[in-house]
Formats: sequence, structure tokens, C-alpha cells
Amino acid sequence: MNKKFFCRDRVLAVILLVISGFFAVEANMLPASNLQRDPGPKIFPWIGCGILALCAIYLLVKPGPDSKRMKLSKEEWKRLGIMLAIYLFLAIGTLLFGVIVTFPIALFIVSYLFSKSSRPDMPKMKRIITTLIYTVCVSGAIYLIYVVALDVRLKSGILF
Amino acid sequence: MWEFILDALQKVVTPLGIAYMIGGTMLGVLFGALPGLSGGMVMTMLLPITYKMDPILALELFMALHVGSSCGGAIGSILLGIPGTSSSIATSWDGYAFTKEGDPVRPLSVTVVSNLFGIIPGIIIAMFAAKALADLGVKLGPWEYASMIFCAIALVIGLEGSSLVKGFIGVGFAVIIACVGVDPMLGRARFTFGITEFYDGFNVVNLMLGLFAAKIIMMEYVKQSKTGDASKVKVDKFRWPGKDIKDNLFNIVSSFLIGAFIGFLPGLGGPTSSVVAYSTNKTLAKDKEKWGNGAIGGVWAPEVATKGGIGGAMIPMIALGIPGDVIMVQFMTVMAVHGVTAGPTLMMERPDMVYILYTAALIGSIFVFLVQVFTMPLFPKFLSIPYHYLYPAIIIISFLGAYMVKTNVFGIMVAVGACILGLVMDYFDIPIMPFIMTYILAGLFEKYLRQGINNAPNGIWTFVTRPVSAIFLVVGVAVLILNTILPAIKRAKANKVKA
Repeated sequence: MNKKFFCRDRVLAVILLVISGFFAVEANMLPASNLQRDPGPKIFPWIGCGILALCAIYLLVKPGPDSKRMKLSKEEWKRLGIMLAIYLFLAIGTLLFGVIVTFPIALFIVSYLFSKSSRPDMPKMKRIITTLIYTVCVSGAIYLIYVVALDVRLKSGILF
Repeated sequence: MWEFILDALQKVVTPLGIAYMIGGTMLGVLFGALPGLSGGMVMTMLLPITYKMDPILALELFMALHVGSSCGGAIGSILLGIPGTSSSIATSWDGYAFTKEGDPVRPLSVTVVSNLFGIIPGIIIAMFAAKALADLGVKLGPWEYASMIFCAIALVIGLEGSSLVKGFIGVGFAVIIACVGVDPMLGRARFTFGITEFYDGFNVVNLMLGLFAAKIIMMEYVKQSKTGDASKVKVDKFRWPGKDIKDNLFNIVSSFLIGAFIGFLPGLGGPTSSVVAYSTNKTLAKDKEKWGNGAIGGVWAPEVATKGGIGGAMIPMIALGIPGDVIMVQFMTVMAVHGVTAGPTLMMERPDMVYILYTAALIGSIFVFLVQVFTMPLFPKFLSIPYHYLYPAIIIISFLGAYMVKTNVFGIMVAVGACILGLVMDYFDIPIMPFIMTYILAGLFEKYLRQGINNAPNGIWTFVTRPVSAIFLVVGVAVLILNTILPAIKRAKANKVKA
């Protein structure tokens, strides 16, 4: 019964209630407007919270079936986690080491992963060398376009 | 008008401009042809580059990408039976049958010619309609604008086809996220939680990079989707489809009108217009039993309708500052970066920019026609590009673009956050389109809503008592109600039949 009750829509409804509740409280703390008839900065967040809360109530009462929703296998969830970790590495790595160090590393990892899935028969050493050559070429081309041609300043990271 | 067109021609047709347009159309056709990718994605990826570009060249490049990708989508549909874009799904129903019979050139030639029949008249209509709409637009007040934005969002939620409640959840998310930053009327900080970077809000370019480019490539890796092999399909040179044009004249005209009208409505665009044009013309066709198994009319209808929508979608963006789809959002962003705001005053303040857009679209359609005519035998090669070289470069260019927006890491973090939000929305089946449209329009909506209440003699009732405002409110509410009632009636009928 529990499993059926906590279908995806009801889980979403609970999340929406938490979000709308949190932002409604935050909005309530905003100062009022000094213009005579202006409803103030609270009105718009309240509209957003109201919409989310009403949708949450609807989903709690009348949830839709889970059958047609996005479904991932265990292997696919693993791949999603790996890709997400690379994206997070791009963000944190850029902060710590800067763009010039982080982006080529991320490019190497991503192209290695894609090549592994599209050419599974390729020997490991050959794959590493091909990916390395690809990384150097693409990084060089991007550097030329962005830094030399477009004059984009790439900041260094906190560490170096 | 003619002096603006001639002036725009002089600015657009320069050696560098032509090089950008040829490059843009080729890149657009390629990205449109590759299943899983789209013109919208390449535009999102390149959006930050336009910050550093001359605005005219940026608009030329983007128009070439847009036109090119709209035309490239049919290549995958015809050669593989796998649509390159959602707008070319209907093309695959009949187009692929010709490839199976060994004649892919006939439907491919039809799609190439449909560029001219769809885009050029669509842009000419847009030139006149946008001017008339903008003239009306300057006479409207904040009440009409607030109601118009409400109507646009309601149309996007109602006509998009997914659940109404889920559409509203996307709207709710967008409203709350759009509140982060500074309040548009008083300039007070809202939901910033003491984080300095939050004061400017979340840049829409970073959001789109995360929601579209980063998420799409991530899902391609997750699903490990592989396209079929088109290298064995032999494609000969382009053949002018003279007889097919003569036999399908009514189909071409009606599909164009359907495409232009649906393109004008927010949130619908190519995917809807192509299917509506296909089903309308199938119903009216003499050889309707052949449709779906290799009728050339089944290629004309979706292709002309999709391209007819390009001009239609430009009208509300130029005249009212209300984008009909994500592509128009990108054009608005490119213009905004260079200090040009789309809306009713655009025609008066920067008519040069408006005519540059039209001229670029017209020239872009001619370039894409020529590019496709001369490269037709190479189409199978387009579909054989190794994905493991293309996708990593897209990811890196997208995140570099996110960094470029303000030259700081916060942009990358926003893009990663948007990608995660996109995944969560996919997981819970929440459509992206109402979210992104509301996010774009939220600032304006709040400003007009509050200005309207502040300046209204009858308070909030002024929104209902002013006729134009009332019409928009009625249309918006009607769309929402109809989309609640009609599916309920359908369900009730289905249950009755079952019983």
C-alpha cells in the first residue's frame, strides 16, 4: 500500500509543498513597498508559491500513473552519476585550478568515455593515444578561437 | 520600408557576412540532420560567443543556424527514418519509404525546395504583420502587456500537449527562480541569501546551456543511443521537382498558411504545424491511402509548414517582445546583449536591426537552398559523423560559454544546477518549455503587473475593464479551461466505450 501511495507524483507533491512553504516564509520577510498602491516585492513570490502549492494538492489527491515516466536501468543511473561527477568537476576544478587546467582534463575524460561506448573493441592503449591527440587538437582549437580570436580572459584558479 | 531593406542588404551582404552565413547554414544543416542534436542546441552553445561579436554578424550567424537546422532535420527522416528534429517526425512517415524504394533524391529535393516556398513568403508576411502589430503595441499600457504575457504562458501550457498541472509546476518553478536577484520595481534584494552572485539573478544563457546542451549530451551518454548507418544509402544529385510542385500546389499553399499561423502562436512551432499540415492535407488528398507509404504530398505538407513557421514566430518577438519559442528567446538574448530590446518600440528605435533579421532570413533561405542543392550527394556522410568526437567538444564549448557570460565560475555552477534541474523535471515529467518561457517573461510580467496595479484607477479590476487586456485574459483562461475539459470528455467517452 505504501509503495502505491508514494508514487512519483506524490513524492513530487511533497517536494513542492516544502519548496513553496520555504519560499512563502522567505517572501513574507521581504519589506513592503513604499509606493502607494504597489503590492510590493512579496506578490510575485507568493504567486509562484501559490501555483506550486495548488499543484501539489492536486497531485496528492489525483496522482498520475508512473508507467510512462522516464525509467533508467542500474547501468544508466551509473552513467548518469559519472557524467554528473564530470560536470561538477568542471565547476569545482575551474574554481580551484582554472579553465586552462580543468577543461582539457574534462575533455579527455568525456571523449574517452564516449569512445569507450562507441568503439568498444579498440585496444586500451590505442584509445588513450587517440583520445589524447583529440584532446590536444580540440583544446588548441578552442584556445585559438576563444583566447586569441575572441580575446576571452581565462582566470586562473585559487590554487594555481 | 525599401530604404531599410536596401540598407540591411548592404550591411548583411559583406564578404565576412556571407562567410558567416555559409558557415552558419552548413553547421545548422549538420546539427539539424543529426538525431539527438538540434539547431537550438548549437545556437545555445554559441550564444556566449555573440557577446564578443559584432551584433549584425551575430544575428546573421544565428539566422543562418536557425534556417539551416530547420531544413536539415528532414535528412535523417528521409535517409534513416529517424527524424533529426521533432519538426521532421511527420516527414519520416513518407520520406523514408522513398529511400527504401531506392529514390531518396525525390523527397530530399522536395525538402530543399520547400525552404524557398516556406521561408520567403513567411518573412514577407512577417515584415508587414510585425509592423502593424508593433503600431498597435505602442498604444497598449501595462495592463494589456501583463495580460498578454499571461495569455502567452497559458498558450504554452495549454497547447504544449503535456499535463496542465505539470505545465503549471514548470511555471511555478520559473516564477520562484526568477525572483532571485533584485526586485524590478524597487531594486531591493530578494532570495539572495547573502550570496553576492545571486544579486544579478541567474543568467538565461547559463540556464539554457544547462537545460539543453549539457542535459542532452548527458542523456545521450546515459542512453548510449546509436543512430543507424546511412553510409550505404546512395544519394544522387538534386532534381528540380517541377511536376511534384504542379501536382501539390494546394497542399503547398495550405501547409504554408497552417505553418505561418501556428508559428505565430507561442509554444507550438514546427512539431505541431508539421503534424497539423500533414493530417489536414492527408484528409483532403485524392490518394490518401498512399499517405504513410510513400506519398510525395506527405513530404511537402510537413516541410512547407515547418518552414512557414519561421516567419510567423518572428512576428510576436519583434512586435511585442514575446518570444514564441526557445529559438526566438535566443534571438532576443543576442539582441539584448548588444543593447537592443525586442518589443513595440523596436520598430521605431532600431528598424535597422529588424530589417537585418528579415534580410538575414531571406538570404539564409537562399544559402541553405544552394548549400543543400550542391551537397546533396554528401547527405549520408552528414549522418556518419563519429559522435564520440562531436559530443565531448559540445560539452566543453557549452561550459566554456557558461564561464564566458560573466567570466566567472558561477556561470558554470548555474549551468550544472540547471542541468540537474532539467533531469529532475524529466524524472517527474515536467515540461521544460513553460518553465523557460515563464523565466524569460517573469521579470516583465512582474513589472507590468505591479505598474498596472499601481497606476490603475480601479485597482486590479482595470485588467478586466480594459477591452484588449480582457480579450487576452479571456483567451488565456479559455485555453486553460478547454485543455482541462476536452481531455476529461475524451476520457469519459473512452470509459463509456469500454463499459
